[in-house]
Amino acid sequence: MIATSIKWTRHNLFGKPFDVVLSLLVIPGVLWLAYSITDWAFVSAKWGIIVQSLRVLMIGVFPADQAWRAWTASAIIGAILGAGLGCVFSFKPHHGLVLLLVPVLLLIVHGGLGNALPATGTVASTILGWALTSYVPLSRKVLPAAAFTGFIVIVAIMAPPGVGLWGGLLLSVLLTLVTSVLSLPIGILLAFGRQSRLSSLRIICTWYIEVMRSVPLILVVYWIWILMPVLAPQWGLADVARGMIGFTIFYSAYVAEYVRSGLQAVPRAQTEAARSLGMSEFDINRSIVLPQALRVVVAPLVGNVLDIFNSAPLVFIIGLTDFLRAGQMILANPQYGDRTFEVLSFLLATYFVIGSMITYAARKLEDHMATGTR
Amino acid sequence: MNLLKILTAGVFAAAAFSAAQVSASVLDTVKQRGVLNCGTDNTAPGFGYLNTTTGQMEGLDVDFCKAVAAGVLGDASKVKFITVTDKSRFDAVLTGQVDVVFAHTTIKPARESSISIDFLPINFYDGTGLMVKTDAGIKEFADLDGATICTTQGSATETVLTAAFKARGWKDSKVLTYENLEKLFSALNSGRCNAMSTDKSALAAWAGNAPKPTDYLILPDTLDKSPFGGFVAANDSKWRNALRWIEYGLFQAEESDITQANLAEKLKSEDPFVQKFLGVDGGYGKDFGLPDDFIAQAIKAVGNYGEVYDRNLGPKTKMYLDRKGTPNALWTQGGAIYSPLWN
Repeated sequence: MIATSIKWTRHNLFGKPFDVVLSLLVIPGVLWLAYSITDWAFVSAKWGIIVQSLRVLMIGVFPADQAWRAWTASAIIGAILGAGLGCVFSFKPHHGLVLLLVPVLLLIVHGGLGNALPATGTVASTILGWALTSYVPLSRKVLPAAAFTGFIVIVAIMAPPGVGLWGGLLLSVLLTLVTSVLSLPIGILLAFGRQSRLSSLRIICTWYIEVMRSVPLILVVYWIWILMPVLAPQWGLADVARGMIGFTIFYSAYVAEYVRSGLQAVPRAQTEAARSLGMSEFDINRSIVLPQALRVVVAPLVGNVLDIFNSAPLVFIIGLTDFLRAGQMILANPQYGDRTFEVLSFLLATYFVIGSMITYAARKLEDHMATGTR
Repeated sequence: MNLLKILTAGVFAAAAFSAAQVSASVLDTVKQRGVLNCGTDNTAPGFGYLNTTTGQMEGLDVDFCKAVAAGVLGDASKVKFITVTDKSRFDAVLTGQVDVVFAHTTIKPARESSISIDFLPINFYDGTGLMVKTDAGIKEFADLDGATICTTQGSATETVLTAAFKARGWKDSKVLTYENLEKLFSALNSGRCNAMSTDKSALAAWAGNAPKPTDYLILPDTLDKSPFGGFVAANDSKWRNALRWIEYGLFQAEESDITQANLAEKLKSEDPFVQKFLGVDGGYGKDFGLPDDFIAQAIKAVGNYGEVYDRNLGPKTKMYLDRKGTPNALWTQGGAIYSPLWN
């Protein structure tokens, strides 16, 4: 073991004179960096501020006595995501152990059982969902319906205190979720519309897609934010709802383009064969073209979800308090002005964890989808 | 942002058109709705801030929202805080999403002349100030000839400082800019700058939260005025007047020594002015379309102006902002907080 690692080191790090110089420069540098970061993170950083403001970072101004709604919603989100993961990636007990580290860590840092409970619930439901679809293949069949029901339930649970109160990380996640779910059907319709034989429909859809793809997201969001109360004052839509509409309108165009690339990837012979069997245009699209097209574009669509999640902080412009702005809110207080690195590190770490989970899922999904065609 | 402005101009034309057709005062809308939609910031400690530990909105602007809700609807809890940003606050009130905005907005002629809004009376006087290290021996702005003064990037302070240098013919003085207040403050501490310059309200907070507040001295000079006021959509004098007199009511209450604590006692007062002011006997509310006890309700909710100030900005808060000797003191104490005559 030691012999092989010495051999590996000599071969890879000290093989040539130039490598030796580089290694001597880089290795101490990296070690020093690692030491300073560790030293800062465990000795000098004052993490108390994160623990103190955790609730605002997670759910923003959502009323404290209604917090159970938020925790229930996050448990359902966990279950759906877990179940989705289980379809492509089998659950192993050690995954559960790693996930359980989160609430344990929170328990140690926080000291209070009450604060660790929501995280435990979310992790537990994620594990349950993951295990269910891993071990009971039959459950995968009902997953889309279950996920959609879960989605409706989340909105129903979260809505009563007022949609305008959604905030923090939960807002970022819900915005991503709502946008991803709503933009999929709209995007599919637009993609078909762009290929339609009715030229009026084709022109409208093409225009829509091209306009949306050539303007910045922030403009669309702000535009909708101003426009809705003028066009429909009687609806009194909350800022959050208008933000979601803006995001959906914008990202539908992107989804449409992804789906169109999938539609074009389906061999022409497939449609011709179906037509010769006498299937109607609608049936051809529904049961021949779309399933094959979606199979190709699942991975880019998951990437699109990541894109939505990372653009979510832009809603600050219409006065929403998403995760990033909640962090800035803490820093705006001169009392905590010297905790910049603590707060920003926490934001960075959280975004990194969530973002890398999504990319990881996308990669797994891609592998899974590719197995059939190989 | 320019493209945005052109696009929005069209919408406002449409909005103004539909508003002209309806032409109901916001006051009636608020009373009918039963809830006040109040636009505030949530990242400005002392003014409009979401306390990250309690999850509650707090600040001077927030208290003004509560006072309006109490005055108009008789219940301070019937207010919905809608966050507005520096970019969105004018559009928010113009499109009717909020009824009034209290968001530490500087009153300027261009804002009232080119944006279709009307300002309410000034509720806080801020200004550009300077802070130095006490041991530097600097006592006033005139001592800073040849010094390096630091401020934040892209703020108006930079222009103000350059103009002040020019006016005094200082050739060697320099302005250095930093990205944010935190970096600015550490530059002052490390000696990179002889003085840091920004809004006086921010200076006091940074000094007060330092390990040793006496290490810092805020110079008496004010280089540039920055009066804050709330605002409403233009051409709705019914709504604007109601809000103005609620605000003046808070000023007058301080002058007449009516506080949250002694309100119950004052309600029994024999003084005919106090009786009318608080709406015990007659009152001022009816003609504004408000309940006669609107001032009593506002005081019950947030206290008089002095109490609102002390709760959010005063020396006992983390903002450490003393009113004494500033325009924020009552006019009877040499300040500029002044209510017109109630009679």
